[in-house]
Order: sequence, then C-alpha cells, then structure tokens
Amino acid sequence: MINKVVKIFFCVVFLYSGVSYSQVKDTRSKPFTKYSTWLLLQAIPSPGIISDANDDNARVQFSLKWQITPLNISFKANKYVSPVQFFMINPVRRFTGSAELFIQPEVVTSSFKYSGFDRFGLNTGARVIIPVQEMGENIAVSLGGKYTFRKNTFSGDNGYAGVESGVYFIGGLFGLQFTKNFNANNLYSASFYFKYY
Amino acid sequence: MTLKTIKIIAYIFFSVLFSSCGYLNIMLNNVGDSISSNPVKVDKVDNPVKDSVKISALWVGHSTTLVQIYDKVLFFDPFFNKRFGGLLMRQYEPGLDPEKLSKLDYIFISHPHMDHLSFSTIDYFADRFPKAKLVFPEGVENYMPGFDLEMIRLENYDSQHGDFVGKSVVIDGMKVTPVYALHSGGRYAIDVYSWLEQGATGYVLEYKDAVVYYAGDTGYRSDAFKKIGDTFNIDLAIIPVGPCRNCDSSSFWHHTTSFETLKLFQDVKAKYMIPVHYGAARYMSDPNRPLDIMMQILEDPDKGFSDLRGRVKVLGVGEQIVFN
Repeated sequence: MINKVVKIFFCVVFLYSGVSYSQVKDTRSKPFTKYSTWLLLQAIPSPGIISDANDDNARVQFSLKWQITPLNISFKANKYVSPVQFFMINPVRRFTGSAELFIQPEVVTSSFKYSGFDRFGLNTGARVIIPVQEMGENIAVSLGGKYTFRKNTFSGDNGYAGVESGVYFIGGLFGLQFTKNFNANNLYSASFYFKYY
Repeated sequence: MTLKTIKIIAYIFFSVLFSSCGYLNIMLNNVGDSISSNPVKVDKVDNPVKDSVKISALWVGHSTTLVQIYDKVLFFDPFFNKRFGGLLMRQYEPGLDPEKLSKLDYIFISHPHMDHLSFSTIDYFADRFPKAKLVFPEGVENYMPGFDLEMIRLENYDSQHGDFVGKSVVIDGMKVTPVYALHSGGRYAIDVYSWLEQGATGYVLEYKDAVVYYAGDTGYRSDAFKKIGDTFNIDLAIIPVGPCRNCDSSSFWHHTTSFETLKLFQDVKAKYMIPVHYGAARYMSDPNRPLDIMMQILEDPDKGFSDLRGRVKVLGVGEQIVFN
C-alpha cells in the first residue's frame, strides 16, 4: 500500500512540477498544478529535536513537525493585494512584517520514556514576523507564544505553554525555530522550518 | 523511524529538488564565487542626468538600465544589491552611484524574479524620490511589499495572451504600453518554473518624438515581435541576451539566445539596440559568453544580420550613451 502511495505521489509531483520547465512555450499559469503541488509540499515535515527529561535522566528526541498557518495578517501589503491570508501564505506578505496563527502537528520518532508524554502533539499559537535584511527576504525573525497539546501518561497533564522564536532565510521559506516550554520535562525544542507558501 | 518513512521523505525531497533544479543549478555553480569573491569595481559617471538630451541610456549592469527621454528619467529593473537573491554574487559592482542621481520619475519592473526586482533598491529610491511612479505588470503585485511611492499596476493580459500589444496608459505625460514577453512571473523557484505565475511584460515608452522599447526578460516568438515592430517606430530597443547553452541557435524558451536576440532586434525594427542581461550573473558558464557569441554571429556575413552592424551598441558597465 505504502509503495503505491509513494509511487503516485512521486508521479504527481514529477508530472506537475518538472515537466513545465521543458521547452513548452506556454506562459499561462496552471492553477491545478499550483494547488496540487502546494498541497504536496505541505507534506514535507520540518525535522527537529525535543527534550525528554525526568528528575534523574534527560535526552533529546528526534521529531517531525508540519507547518500549518490558518491565518496571516500582513503589515506591509500593497494596495493591490489583501493583507489577510488563509493557509496558502504569500512569502512576501509574510516576511515583510506580519502576524499569524499557526498549528504544528508534531510526532517524535520514539516514546518519551523519561517524561511520559505522548508521541503525538499539537502546537498551536501566534507569532509576529519581523523583517531584518532586504525587507525580510534575506533574514527575518519571529517571536511568539504557543500551547502544546500533548498528553502525559505519568502526570495526567494535557499540555503546556511555551515561547517560540525563529529566524528565516531565502524568502522566509527556510528557517530555524527554538522553543522554551514551561514544563520541566519538555523544557526545550529546536527545529528546522520549511514551508513553501 | 522506519525505512519506509525515510523513503517517503527522500522521495518528497528529491521531487522538490527536481522541480527547482534550474534555480539550484545556478546556485550550486556559484557557491565558491558567492562566498569568496567581491564584485569587480567599475568607473561611474558623475552626472548621469543630462540637461539636454533626446534619449540617453546608462547600463548599470545585468538588466538595470537608467534611461533619460528628454526631461524624464527612469529605471528599468533597478537592482543595486551585491548578491542576487541574497546568495549569488554579482560579477561587477553596479555601474552607477545611486547618490549621484539627481532626478527619477519612474521605476519600471518587468517581472518579479530575483535578478530584476530588488526590494531594498526600490525602498532606497522611494526614500529619495517619493514622487516617482513604480510601474509593473499584473501578477507582480504578489511579489511586492507596499512601497512609499505611487504603485501603478498595468493590465497586460491582452499583450501576453492576445494581440502582443496591450492597452496604453499615460503616466505623467509618458505613454506606456505593455507588450509581449515570453516569460513567467513568480519568484521562489517552483512558482516560476512549475506554477508559471503571471507577471512578466515588455514595455514601449513614447514621449514626445522618442520611442524606447524594453523587452524585459523574454524568449523568442517571431509573430509577437514582428507585431511590436509593425506597431511602433522604435528608436532604441533594450534587449536581453542569454543566458543560453546553445547560444548560436534557438533553444531555451525562457530567454533569448544570442541568435534570437538579433532576430528579435530585426523583428522590432528599432534604430538601435543595447544588449543587456549578461555579464553580472554567472548562470551556467562565462557570463559574457552570450554577448561574445552574439557579436560573432553579427560579424558573420552568412548569418543574415549584416544590416544590424553599427546599430548594436554594446555598453560597458557604467557606460552611458546619448542619442540625439
């Protein structure tokens, strides 16, 4: 089953992404290609690490996060475009200065054996993106707050709050994010950031 | 993590890699230069704005050209950054000290690619010349922040998908017509090559008795350029040459090859032509190769371009030419 899914995925991406770079003299935009490849690109996870600790032991766990942005409000949109965007976020309106809500489903690759947290978590929060260089296209930073929904089988807790910061490059498409959680068992996490639109 | 999960991630990664291979190829070819080198210094004119001129053109480098038509001063695709896209080092520094510019009326953007649209450059000129007009085609608005000058979006659907010559508008006394360019919009690799986002144009500017054509970035399409040549009596055409692999024939559709640049010049029937879009960025090989091959073709009597000799004006970076 999984092989079939992988083959279909690969075929779709290859057909609708690479082929248009050939010699075809067609400059009309391709909405189906756009939205299908965008959806597939959203499946690319952002890898990271997250701490797993108890009173006696500590280690870091490998994690994968997916970046979902339900809402972004730009502070620097021009008069021809909307400053408010949902899910598919134009990079220029984001990195030139904006505020956004985010959702990050997250999975760690093995169990939190010291802290007792569930492998699956859902980070939700809001952040502000501030341009630093080339109006944010070369470098932008972010600061935000978040709440992570993640069950703890040892303590019975359902989650914890945290603060997040980030630095982004190349149109804000790539970046690094750091989180300090207000929970002694999951104190820090750091991850790459990848989101295409 | 299971082996199958790793396989899935690898497939996704390489699929994205393939779809943006052109962009990555350029970056990988230039990693060394971009880290270790600096742009070559060039001589710059002290007073680029002339008191009395019909048309003047100063090549700043790559496609950036400062043009004066009588009392109107304008930029095509101003780009003064040290690096393209924050990564790709330019070969020569810009051939104009922007502080020496005493007047600017218009900034024309042909399309939003990284080597043609610089946010910090426009921001700089917006601070210095807040009354200048920023003109761009439909689609580019998606790749521009709000600048503190008047932003004017031109409808160019007709010129891109219909008659090759779009609807003219008059901006501060200058007639501006968007014309066909075989190119795409977008800015971040996949939206350029795969999504084919809209947002590319050429421009014909008419002011008093002077007509200037800027082709933007374009591939070659004979019927389109012949239509432009039949519609306007062009004095000066600014036409890109390359990048190209098979420069002496027709090939890469996004950009005119050396051969196609001359064909385009013939089609638009301009009096003079200035080649641009070479020299500053090393896309695939020697950045001057497209120009060198174009000049070889021009000099070859068997190639059919003898009538263009003497009308092709090759400028050095920072060099200014005056047509009266």
